[in-house]
Amino acid sequence: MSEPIHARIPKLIRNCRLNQTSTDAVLLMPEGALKIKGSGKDVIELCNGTLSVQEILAQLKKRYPQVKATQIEIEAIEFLKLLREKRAVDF
Amino acid sequence: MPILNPPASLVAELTHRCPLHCVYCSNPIEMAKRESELTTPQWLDVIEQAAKMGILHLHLTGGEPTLRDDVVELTRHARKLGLYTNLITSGVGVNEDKLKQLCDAGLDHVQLSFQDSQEITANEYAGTKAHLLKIKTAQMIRTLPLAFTLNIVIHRENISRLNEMIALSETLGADRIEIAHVQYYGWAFKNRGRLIPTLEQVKEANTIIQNAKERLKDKVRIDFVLPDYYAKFPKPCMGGWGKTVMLIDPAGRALPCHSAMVIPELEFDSVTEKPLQEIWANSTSFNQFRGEAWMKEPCSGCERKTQDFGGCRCQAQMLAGDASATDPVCSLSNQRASVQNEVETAMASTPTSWTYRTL
Ligand code: SF4
Ligand code: SF4
Repeated sequence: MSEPIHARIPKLIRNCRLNQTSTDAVLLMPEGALKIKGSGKDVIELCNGTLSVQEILAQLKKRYPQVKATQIEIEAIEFLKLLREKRAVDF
Repeated sequence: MPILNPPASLVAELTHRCPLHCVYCSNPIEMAKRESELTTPQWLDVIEQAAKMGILHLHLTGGEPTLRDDVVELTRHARKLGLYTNLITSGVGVNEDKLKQLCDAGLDHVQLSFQDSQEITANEYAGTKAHLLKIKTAQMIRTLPLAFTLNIVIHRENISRLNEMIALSETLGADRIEIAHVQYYGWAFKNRGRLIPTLEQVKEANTIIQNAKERLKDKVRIDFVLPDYYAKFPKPCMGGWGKTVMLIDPAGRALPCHSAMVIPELEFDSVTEKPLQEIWANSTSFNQFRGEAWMKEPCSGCERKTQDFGGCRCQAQMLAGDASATDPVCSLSNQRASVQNEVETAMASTPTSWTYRTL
């Protein structure tokens, strides 16, 4: 827990999966489900257990060049923490 | 009228048949016989309707769900429709081949329960020689890409081995351990005199669980269900009546919770007669305790009512004889003394023999 969050490596827990319907996306997990909006899907895809938070942020910045970098940082980290709290990702 | 959301999960009790006879089984005393079980096409249809309603999770349970030959087919169908599929199994009677087929059919998650860490008593509580078979099943599960939750059910007679049970779960490679005190429904209600733990036991178990959570923090998730008769406030039963869960029993009756049949005033609709959505929205049994209008004092004026919904309706029925009463487990209930009484009587009595679950 002591290392800074940027160095940590988020990983989707076993058998969490994203379910995409025509209208929205839901992250299904053993103990519940989470509605996913917008770029949340990208973040989840990148939680593959090999990329660090730092690297995930870099990827997101590439994918969304029109969005301010600081905004991406704040939002993505907040979302990752939410996913951890909901026990969908470990890091 | 506020919009009625669909339930998050459908609990499909495929059969009440089970190779085990657990003394704390929460199945109803009057169980559905094999002849009355829904057919495969009926279950396929129920699953399809569930997916259309926007239900996300399907829990395949029983009894022992793998006793149904169609469990693989039902899993595949559910998964194809995007449902998250969870198999709740005793681990007995499910062989490696079946597990692999289930896995190929898209099963997401398996829940396997253990009665104890040591064989003799584990088999005693299960009423059959199940323990070693369960260990084998756990080992097979771990070779497959399935999320794996191991359930430990604790009570007065096995609680002293909680540490060993947690150790066993670790060895077996569970992703998550769910430790629950027996809840006193169905057959457990009959056996509660031998199952209710002492206050010292409850406290000791809490410490053990806290330590295990700390120690396994980054490895295994541990969830814990408190013992009912010792809590200050009741549990938010089923996440609220008719709010998040719909249960279909083996014969197709739609129930708001697994024990709802103990409430004599309720009438249950069947999926063989009505569409799932219609039952969810209009059936009297689901509407009976939806929202807050049915509540009496002290619940109606209590600020916790949006958190615990006044507790468990079945418990109110069983302990207070009134399904709309405040859950007698609640410290604010005027029936709380009767719960205390239950506990004390249980402590004072010499253990009688078990009543085993039989179909
Ligand atoms: S609690 Fe035991 S007897 Fe009841 S359904 Fe589960 S395994 Fe079977
Ligand atoms: S009085 Fe009713 S709402 Fe309040 S804590 Fe007790 S059970 Fe819950």
